Amino acid sequence: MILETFYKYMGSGTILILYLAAVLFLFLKEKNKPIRILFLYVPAIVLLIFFNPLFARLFEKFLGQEIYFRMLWMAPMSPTLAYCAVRLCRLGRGRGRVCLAAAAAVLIMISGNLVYRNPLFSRAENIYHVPWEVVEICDRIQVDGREIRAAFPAEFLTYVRQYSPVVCMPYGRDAILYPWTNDLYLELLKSEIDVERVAKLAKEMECHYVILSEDKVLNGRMEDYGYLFFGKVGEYVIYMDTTKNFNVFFPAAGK
Amino acid sequence: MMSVVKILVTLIVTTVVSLWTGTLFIPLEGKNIRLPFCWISGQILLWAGFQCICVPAILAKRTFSEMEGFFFFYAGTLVLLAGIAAAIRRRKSEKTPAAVQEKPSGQKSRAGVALWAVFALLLGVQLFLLCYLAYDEGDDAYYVAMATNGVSDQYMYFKDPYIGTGAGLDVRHALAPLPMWVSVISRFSGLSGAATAHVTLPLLLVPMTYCVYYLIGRKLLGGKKKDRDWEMPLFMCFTALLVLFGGYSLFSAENFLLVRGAQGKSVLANLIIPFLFYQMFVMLEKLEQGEKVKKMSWVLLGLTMIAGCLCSTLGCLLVCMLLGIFTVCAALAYHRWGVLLGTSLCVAAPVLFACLYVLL
Repeated sequence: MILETFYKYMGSGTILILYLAAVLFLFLKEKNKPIRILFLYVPAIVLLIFFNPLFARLFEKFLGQEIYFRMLWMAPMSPTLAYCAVRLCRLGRGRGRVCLAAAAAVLIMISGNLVYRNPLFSRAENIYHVPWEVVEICDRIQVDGREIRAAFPAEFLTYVRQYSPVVCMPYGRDAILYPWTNDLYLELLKSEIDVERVAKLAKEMECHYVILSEDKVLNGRMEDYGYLFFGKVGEYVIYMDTTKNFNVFFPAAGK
Repeated sequence: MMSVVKILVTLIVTTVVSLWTGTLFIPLEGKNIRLPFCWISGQILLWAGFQCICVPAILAKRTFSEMEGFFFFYAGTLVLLAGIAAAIRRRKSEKTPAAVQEKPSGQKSRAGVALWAVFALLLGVQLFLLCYLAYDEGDDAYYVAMATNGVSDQYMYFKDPYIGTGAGLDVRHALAPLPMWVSVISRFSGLSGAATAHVTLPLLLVPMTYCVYYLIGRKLLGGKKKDRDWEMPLFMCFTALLVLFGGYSLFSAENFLLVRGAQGKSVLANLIIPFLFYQMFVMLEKLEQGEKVKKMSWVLLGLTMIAGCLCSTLGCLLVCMLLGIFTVCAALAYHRWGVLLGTSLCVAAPVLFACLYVLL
């Protein structure tokens, strides 16, 4: 677990090499005692604790192994690297200094990886940073003065409740992590949807709406099971359960 | 357009309040008052108070509005106290003859100005992309949803934010209620929790992070003023580059800063821990010079520890460990065992929160 976490944290390892070089530089050249303590000895002790199997086992037992990497946040990599880079530039004069600064900058860029190259970044569609379909659907299905429940496709699960506190769901992000725990979610994941089963499960889970992607093949009509075509947003169709009560029977939280 | 105005007003108001309350810590800086220090320490003071108000409110099943009222009262009191402190300082400075102040060195070097411009560009790019790009971050389904719900829910942390139905108290997250602070800012700004967490707060927290790096840089580079003219901006440029290119791992603090700006873990990794390093540096300098560490330094350190608990439950452990390691090193290096007492007082609050976690 320790090495796996360490490798994950260090990525390709180039930044680690840079950091170790910086630490070695500090060890050999730094005279200032506070700097030596904070940027040399403290990180060294942090790493000793991090690589201690007994500590790792205790940490895993009480807090879980998935957050063990956060221990490494106590080793101040960025200030150490930036400081050593500046110290390196002190060695040059005039253009030599500019060349050294440029070389250090290039080295940082090469050993790192641009954060924005992560494929999970996309252009924000609105100020809420959630897909526009989520905003549209939630705005349409919300009922003033009360909460409602809607079954959404998997791709919207992490966004719905970020946008609207009054739209509840029969399953949430947990379903993405543990899909077998929710039958309705499992059914909606299929490319061909058993409409009768979806309608039955959605009613059991007290859903007022079911949102289906047009990509899915339906083996029947939702309208045959007490649902009404409520509207369409992009490639998503909203069905409303006509048997559900939409009256305002309790004030929506906070109102 | 209205949203942009709301965001700007929120940023200005929160910054001014933090700055003003941070002036309470001016005695720590003496004549070398720096705005970044006031800004960060003021925010720490507000966060520490928020933690001490919000956690009991959650456990006592008080509503969000009640908790918010207590917090605004606390913040208002701090603003008032800062005003009184400023008036006292002014009166004192009028009575004492004006000290010969160090003249500003006049013009900055061209290299320094150019490097500051480069840093401003790097920071500007980051701030622009924070607004322009959205990141599909799974954990936001919890934290941002909790912030969005916070405003509307009757009780805090008694609802599963993933689905919106009632649940028992979520102790693990309730002891680190930063999302409730996001809710407070959200309600104040009139923007939704999602907009606040994804846009407003990163625009506030990223510059704050660089301010902490600036403070650390000033301490690290010290030296002659002539050299600092180009060294400081160069240090900031390298730091900005390290943040921008911190995507070598999904778990690096730098990656967290640009990806999960308003999540507690990011604040812990990028603001609280670096600010602890800064304060430890200041203390070590005092020890090095054979001076006594000011009581107010310990107060600020203790507040930072509490602010660490607000950010993440693991924050209790990390800040205590860091301070513990620091204390051992400092005590051994300078044979000043008095630091042990200060440290033990500073860790009291995080230990209390950790005990709550275990007991509840």
